[in-house]
Amino acid sequence: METSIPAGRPKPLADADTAPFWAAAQERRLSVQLCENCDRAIFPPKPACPHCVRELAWRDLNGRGSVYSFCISRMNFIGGYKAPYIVAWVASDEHPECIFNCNIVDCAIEDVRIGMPVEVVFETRPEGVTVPQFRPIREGAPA
Amino acid sequence: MRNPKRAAVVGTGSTEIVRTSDKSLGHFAVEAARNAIRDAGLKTSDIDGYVGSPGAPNASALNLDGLDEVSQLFMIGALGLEPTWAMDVVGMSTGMLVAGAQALAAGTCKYVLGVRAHYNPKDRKYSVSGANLAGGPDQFTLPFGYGPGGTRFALWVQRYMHDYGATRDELYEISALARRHARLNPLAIWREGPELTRDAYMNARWIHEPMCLFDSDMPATGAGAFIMTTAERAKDLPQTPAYVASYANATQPSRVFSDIGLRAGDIQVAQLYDGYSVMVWNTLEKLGFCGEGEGHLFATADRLSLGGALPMNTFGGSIGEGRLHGMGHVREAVLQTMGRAGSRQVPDVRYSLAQVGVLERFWSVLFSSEEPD
Ligand SMILES: [Zn+2]
Repeated sequence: METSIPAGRPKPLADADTAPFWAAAQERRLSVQLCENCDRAIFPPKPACPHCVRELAWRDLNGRGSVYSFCISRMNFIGGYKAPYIVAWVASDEHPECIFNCNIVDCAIEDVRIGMPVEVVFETRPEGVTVPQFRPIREGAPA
Repeated sequence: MRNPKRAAVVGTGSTEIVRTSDKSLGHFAVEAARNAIRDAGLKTSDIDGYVGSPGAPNASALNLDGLDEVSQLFMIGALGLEPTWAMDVVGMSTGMLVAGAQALAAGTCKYVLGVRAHYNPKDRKYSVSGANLAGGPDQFTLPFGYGPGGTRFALWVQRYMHDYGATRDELYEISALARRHARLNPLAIWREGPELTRDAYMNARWIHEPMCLFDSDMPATGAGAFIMTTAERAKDLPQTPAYVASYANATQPSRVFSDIGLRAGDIQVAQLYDGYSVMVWNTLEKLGFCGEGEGHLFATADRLSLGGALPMNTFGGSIGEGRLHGMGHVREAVLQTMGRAGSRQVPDVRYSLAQVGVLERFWSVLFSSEEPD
């Protein structure tokens, strides 16, 4: 019995803590938890602030950030992904403690660099879900 | 005054380590347990404590008890145990030692059997995910093509190389060292070599660039076991005890040394988890062998080889022996402490370290060949 790689990309299964993130993405907003006590943003979502254990609110980020790190995945492990592709950690400009796992889209694999400025772009998939991805901010392009 | 309830390892057991097998994992686990019990000079009926860590970590795992995982319930049934204490822990093999030491200190049992087994499926690719849905922590990884095969460590090392000028030339040394030491370990998958040449490493296929095939250990099927008891009871058993001198987790990692008044440089031999080669740089820094960003400079072949100042992964590590989720590291740390490591033996071992786990979650256990005060 060979595990076959499904044709589609895995669909996020939201829970009560993460549902606001996915609902915001559906509306093309990048939303994260914020602790008003610590003035820190929290991502991925947590049941409470990991610094002071207070309740968390949600707020939208401006969607801009930079590539904190990246790799080029050159093997096929996951449904809907054909190697080679870029996997990155993107740090939010407003809250660099927020690091998003994502693909850098609209970018050749040779061109991705640490520190590269990127902006969020929302990818609506055939599986019926919208996920935030990031693409390079090109000079001269509207911010 | 010495603590009579201090834990000591008094026996180890292993099975063969193979790529895949027709036997279920339960079969391997029972064999490892039997070997450890015999090594400690005990009978199965003496065992009144059990600790395991059953989780199958791979994306294609079926998570079936006795097939690709082995729980305390399976082992109790398989060996006919009647334990007064039994537990499965998260935290891999060093976490099992810590739990066992606590149970002995509390006096809830006399002889603890610890078993960890790892299964590489014969009929499925180890790391291929068949998931259509990704819940829990996976919802922020798998939908982005992030997950199996060490994506996280490739991202980590790319940033590390950027910040500290580390190179793949330096990373090669970790895997090459593992393969050299494995040739001295009769259990190792790479026991017959060949050595890993710089050319073979540099030309290997990428998994997640900048990590290549040889930066990863090899999924394997096998099991390891240990027997722990108190320092007091250890004196009546045949093996020289490997006393548990201290332990610490990744939140305060250097306490494994400072709690007993030592510094990292005071130990004679270290087994550091190397599921991916890049982990070793981070662990050397976290434990205080060197400063932040200096792991890649510290980890030279000269220093870490047998005969060097800090022989590391003297059994070949996971990269040379095969992936047993740290049971190889524990076995080797114990054998080095007992003076039973054969052609790999480091002379005059007083302190021997086993560290298993990654980045922000691991346990280190320091063994001593002399009973600590
Ligand atoms: Zn807070």
